Amino acid sequence: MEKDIKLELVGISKSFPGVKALDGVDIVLRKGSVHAVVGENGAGKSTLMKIINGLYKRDAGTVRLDGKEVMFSGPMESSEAGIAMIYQELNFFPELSIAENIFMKRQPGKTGIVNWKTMVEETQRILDANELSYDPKMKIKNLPIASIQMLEIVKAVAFKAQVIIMDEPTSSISDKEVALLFKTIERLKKQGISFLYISHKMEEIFKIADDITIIRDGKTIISGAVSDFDEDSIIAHMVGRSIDNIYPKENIPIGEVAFEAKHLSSKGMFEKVSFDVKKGEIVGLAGLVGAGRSEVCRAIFGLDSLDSGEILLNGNAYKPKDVTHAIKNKILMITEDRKKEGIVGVRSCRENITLTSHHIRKGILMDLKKEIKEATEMSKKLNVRFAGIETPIGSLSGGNQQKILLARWLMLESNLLILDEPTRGIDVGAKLEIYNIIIDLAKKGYSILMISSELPELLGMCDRIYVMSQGRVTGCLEREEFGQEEIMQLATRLVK
Amino acid sequence: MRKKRVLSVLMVMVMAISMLVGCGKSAGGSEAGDKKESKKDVFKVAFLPTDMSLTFASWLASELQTAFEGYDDMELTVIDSKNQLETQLSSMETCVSQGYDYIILLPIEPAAEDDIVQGYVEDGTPVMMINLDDFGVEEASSVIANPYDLGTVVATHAMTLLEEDANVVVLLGPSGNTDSIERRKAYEDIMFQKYPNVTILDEQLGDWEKSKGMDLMESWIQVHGDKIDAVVSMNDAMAIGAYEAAKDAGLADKMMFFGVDGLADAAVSIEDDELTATALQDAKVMAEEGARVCHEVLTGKNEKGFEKVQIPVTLITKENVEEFITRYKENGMLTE
Amino acid sequence: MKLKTKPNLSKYSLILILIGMIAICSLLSENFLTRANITNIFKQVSIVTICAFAQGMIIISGGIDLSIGFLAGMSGTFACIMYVSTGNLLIAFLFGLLLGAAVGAVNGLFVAYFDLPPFIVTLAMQSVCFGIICLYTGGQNVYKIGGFKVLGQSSVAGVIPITVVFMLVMLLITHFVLKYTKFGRYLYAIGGNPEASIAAGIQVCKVKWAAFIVSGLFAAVAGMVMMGRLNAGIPSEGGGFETDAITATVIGGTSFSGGAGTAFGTFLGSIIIGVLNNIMNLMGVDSYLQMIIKGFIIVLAVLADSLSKKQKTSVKIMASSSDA
Repeated sequence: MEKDIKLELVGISKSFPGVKALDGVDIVLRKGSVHAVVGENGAGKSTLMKIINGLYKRDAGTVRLDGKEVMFSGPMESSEAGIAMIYQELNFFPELSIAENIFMKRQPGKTGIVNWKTMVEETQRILDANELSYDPKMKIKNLPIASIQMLEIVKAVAFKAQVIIMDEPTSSISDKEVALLFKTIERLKKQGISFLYISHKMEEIFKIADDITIIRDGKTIISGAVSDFDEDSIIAHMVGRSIDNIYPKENIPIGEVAFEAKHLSSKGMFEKVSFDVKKGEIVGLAGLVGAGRSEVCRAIFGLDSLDSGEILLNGNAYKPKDVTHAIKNKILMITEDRKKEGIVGVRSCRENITLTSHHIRKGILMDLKKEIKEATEMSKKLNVRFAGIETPIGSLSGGNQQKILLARWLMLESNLLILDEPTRGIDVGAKLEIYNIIIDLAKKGYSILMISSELPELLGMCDRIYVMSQGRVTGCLEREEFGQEEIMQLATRLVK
Repeated sequence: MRKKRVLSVLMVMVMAISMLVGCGKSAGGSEAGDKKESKKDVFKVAFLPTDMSLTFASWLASELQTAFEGYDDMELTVIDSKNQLETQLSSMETCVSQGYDYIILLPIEPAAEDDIVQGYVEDGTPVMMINLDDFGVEEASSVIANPYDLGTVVATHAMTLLEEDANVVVLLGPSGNTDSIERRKAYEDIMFQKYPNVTILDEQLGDWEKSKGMDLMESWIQVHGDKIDAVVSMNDAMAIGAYEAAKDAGLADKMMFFGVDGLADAAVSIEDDELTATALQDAKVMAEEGARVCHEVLTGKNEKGFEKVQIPVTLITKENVEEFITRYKENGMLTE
Repeated sequence: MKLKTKPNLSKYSLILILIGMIAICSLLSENFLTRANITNIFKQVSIVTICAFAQGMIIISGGIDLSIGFLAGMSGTFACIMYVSTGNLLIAFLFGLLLGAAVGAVNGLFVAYFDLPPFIVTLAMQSVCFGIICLYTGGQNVYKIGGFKVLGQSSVAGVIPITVVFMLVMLLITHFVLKYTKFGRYLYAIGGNPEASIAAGIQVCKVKWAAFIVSGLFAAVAGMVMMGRLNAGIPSEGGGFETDAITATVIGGTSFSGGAGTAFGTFLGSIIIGVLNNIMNLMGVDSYLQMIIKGFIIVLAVLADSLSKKQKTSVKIMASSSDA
């Protein structure tokens, strides 16, 4: 049995400033097997993979390859040792041919001149051996994503990879392509190649994986043969923690329906999404990454396109056009990526707060005195900590930046306030403050729609939670039905 | 993405059309030539000016067109080089490959174009250097007004007006410009060498621009005040700019302003007692001579295959300015 | 309550540099600190400075306008022609403004609505502007513009040259637009972070478009003042203003990456260049040496800009660590 072990991880730990990302992870990968690694978003899966291929240095623990301890200084070294990583974001050069991509950094030929003939012939041989019927001279950009992925695997194997790490390989390919991918994996498995397969799609795990390791909060929770688990037990292990009671939830009288979405669809993004939000209510949108939560909200806010569907705002029809139109209709949204689509980093907090406040003016000019007064009051109310209102927002911490962005919208009236990952990248203290602000807003009658990948946050803050999977709403839970397992079950449900 | 691409194509087209139209207008004569194209024995002649947005070049081009209208068996095409040596060289290549019978070149950098012109002449395409001296292509025709002569004429006239211990400021054209260098050389010989007591208070590049002449003169007036007796400028625009600055300081009446070029702006300025004198390279005479030499070479009347012609330069002062004003009004360079 | 605001270092450093330069210059040349010479400096920078205000607004919004110089040449010369044929200064002036706005609108259309790079669009427009005016005039300049020269050669109250008055008026307009209007705020926001601006409901396309129209208007004003000062309509005289304008804005602390810059900074940047040019001419510094000195000054200014940015990032790191 011992000699069957290809790769062994023992007690792997890794800390980043302020966070313990991994805390004693153990995984045993057998030769010629597929080993699934599952866990919630942020459980530490990606960090783990980066430690295996040498992108990060581990703080503690051992990695053994074929029984020998190894410590790689980077991806180049690990790939030479036979460990290949297929990233979620594929690494390829779209304008180059298949042959050039496969032989990238390994071009045959001495003295720096590429031997094209050998390169094309070798590529042809590799493609033939894997039953892929492409012309080696074809440009990569003309291939579908799944084929490129296949080429990455084939390329890794061609260059003597014994361990292939795959990070969510099916997130962007069709079912038919998934079948092809699985066929390839099965075939390579028989050749003795081992796979570490990161996924949170239950059906896939049961279909392809031999073993499974579940990690949570940077620790290995349980490991074993897939046949010893069922869907429910995996989910229970994934989420199995008690909800910390840090959430300042209060019972707020809930009013009438303020916002209602009916059958919202956008091709390739989401389909027939319906939900509603009442006055004073905090509604959550749960789901895994890529379930289409942000996309629905962005479409409502006018940032992305909406193909069909109906929206009622206080009973009146509303059709998203652009953000200006949304704001006019008092639909406000804090976007997911604060840096990219939130703050104007080089400008002052004052200007960031009043960017959309049209009421602060004297004739055609802005009323600077009033602007300073209102912006100062608002940031005081939200307890923003900064050197002064003229400080560039880019120099503040994430939590304070988020408060400024909240302040921007609080200068306006609101029918619906959408918060997309409002506490991402924010330290615990500031998180609590943001929760308090949200609760306060609900008390004032705001209708709030909140997206979060942190389940405890949704469970602690929301009155109702809609769960999405693969672009559809798979269920809606009332507060008394709340539970992490229930949500995970809905979030991983396969929609056909 | 596609929209973007279509648009860039459209923009390029719009630009190309606007440029074609631009050439078309100034090259009015070539349209008349097109009609005659069916005749086999029409010689195709290309004129490659430096930059059609320059007053002299466009004047020369239109005079050439007028001159060519007098010949049934020659047609003229004007190809602008937009003051880019590279453009002028590649236009020359195109002309040769498209079978032009004769190339008239208003060179941008004669020294740099010598060897290339030599090559064309040896390969059998006759070339004429117009306006600027050729620097040693023996077999090429040339019809030139020597820039040195232009300087000489004005400098000589200036010394009849100035004291022998006059103080002057000097305005130069762009660095490396042949016209500016040659004209300055003439001043050196006629004025500064012969009259060692003439003092150059300062000398700067004014890049042919009126505004630069103005800016420099404003500073000079600060330093030297009414010590300045004359402004010696290598072209008229800078001299007139200096005049504007002096006028503003109330010193214009105490100074003299000498330019070179003798185009419409200078004529008007002399008429108004602003500019003192300038010298003209007469594009009309130049064009007529050019067309004649061209015709003689093409028809074989000139057996040598080339001819060197020097156009006399003309001094323009208050005395004879009326004649030029009339002429410029007639040919449209000056409007009422 | 009095707010603690961080002093704008770059603004003060520019004033300090200018004071230093003036001190040195007055030692170097006794003619420097005379009223007439100071007037000259202002007069000489005024036209480029007006262009620089336009360039500044465009650069703040994250773009660039290379058509400014030739646009100034074109609209200025056309305004001269209009004046010569109508004899009405107001009509000529309005006509010039109209042309400037029209060309700006075309620039803006391509940049904002078709998402083409402003560098290319405005570079192309350079050639179009110059082509149009040369096509109309046949490459000839316009002389005998008579009363049109009031725009460049008269003075207010007998002391302040009209060009300087124009510059100061444009300075105030730019300052108010940037500081006290929503439009100005949007320019900063769009330059600072275009995606965040969209997500904040700013109609980015419209604002960018408008910015180019404003830039065209400014260029037209500069062009008409210039032709007045030259007492002639010379289309080629505007060429090169765009780069001088860029230099002035960058020295004045406008960030090339957009989002930062002020009207007064640009003004000071322009004056600094003007003083530099002036003292070198007063001292009779060789033309070629002048080019070298000017080049180095520009590099130094940009260096100072990038150093001050680095300082800002270190502040950022400190702030976030103190918060954690």
